[in-house]
Amino acid sequence: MYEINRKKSMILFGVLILAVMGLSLVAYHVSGHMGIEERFNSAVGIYAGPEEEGSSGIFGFNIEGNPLYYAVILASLIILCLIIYIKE
Amino acid sequence: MAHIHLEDGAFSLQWVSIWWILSLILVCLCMYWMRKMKNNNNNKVLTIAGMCTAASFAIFQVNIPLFGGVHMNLTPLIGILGGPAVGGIIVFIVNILSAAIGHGGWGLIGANTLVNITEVSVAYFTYRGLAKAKLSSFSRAGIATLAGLMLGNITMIVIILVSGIQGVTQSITDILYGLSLLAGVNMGVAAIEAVLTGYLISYIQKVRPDMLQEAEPLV
Repeated sequence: MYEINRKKSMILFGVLILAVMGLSLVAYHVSGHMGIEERFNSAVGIYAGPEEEGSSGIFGFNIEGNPLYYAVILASLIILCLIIYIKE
Repeated sequence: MAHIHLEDGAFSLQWVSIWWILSLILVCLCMYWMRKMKNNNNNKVLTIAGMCTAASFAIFQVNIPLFGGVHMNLTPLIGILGGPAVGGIIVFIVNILSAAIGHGGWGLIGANTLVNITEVSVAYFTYRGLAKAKLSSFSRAGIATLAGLMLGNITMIVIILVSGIQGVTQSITDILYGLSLLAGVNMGVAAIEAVLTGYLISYIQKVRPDMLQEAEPLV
């Protein structure tokens, strides 16, 4: 078992996070505010029509794709996990 | 996280087939590796795989209102908990399920699986490799997440540049510039995912250290 240098760990990780966040903010400032699909289309040069106004979701969080299918697949996965866990 | 968020038809049929074949070969290799592992492991791997698949699918479909809209998919966490073999299969399943609900095109599953396998593998090997650096598990997991997601973004850019986008007149330099900015924004989310993964891994190490057996062979 080795001794963990917590101070060194936190400094190293903190510096990395700050550097990445700084670069990311620069990239965001240069590219401007846009949705994920719009950002991708603009990056590769696809000129799609105006994005359809979807639901604003809860506090801006919303589901990609069909919410009903999402709920069904997620419920199935959770049930499968429970079965595997109980069997284990 | 990196994910090629384009519609079907963006890549030519030739490139769609190439990325699909490559990803299927990798998934088959993962299955073969997993089969070998099964001899000296138990149902724990299966439980972790199921849990990771559900968590990754659940979070990946949520559009987070940050920088205009971003996604997370927990691929580095999957890599650290399950390893590259199990992780490779999980990301393939999550990509198929995502396409099934209308998030991402069916033709891009192959390319996206390759991007996600890169994230899973790089995170796993970075986390393992940092064991000798005497860093806390929080920092190791956080750094592994950043490394995995950065390499994932690079893979995404390479795949798009190699494939080319159908019906686009932009030069490769312009596309590279646009995708670099996109990757830069993605890395902002990677920083948040790194902190989240760091907390989750350090918590798991406290309460269920046996779950980290795959990535902690030296401890």
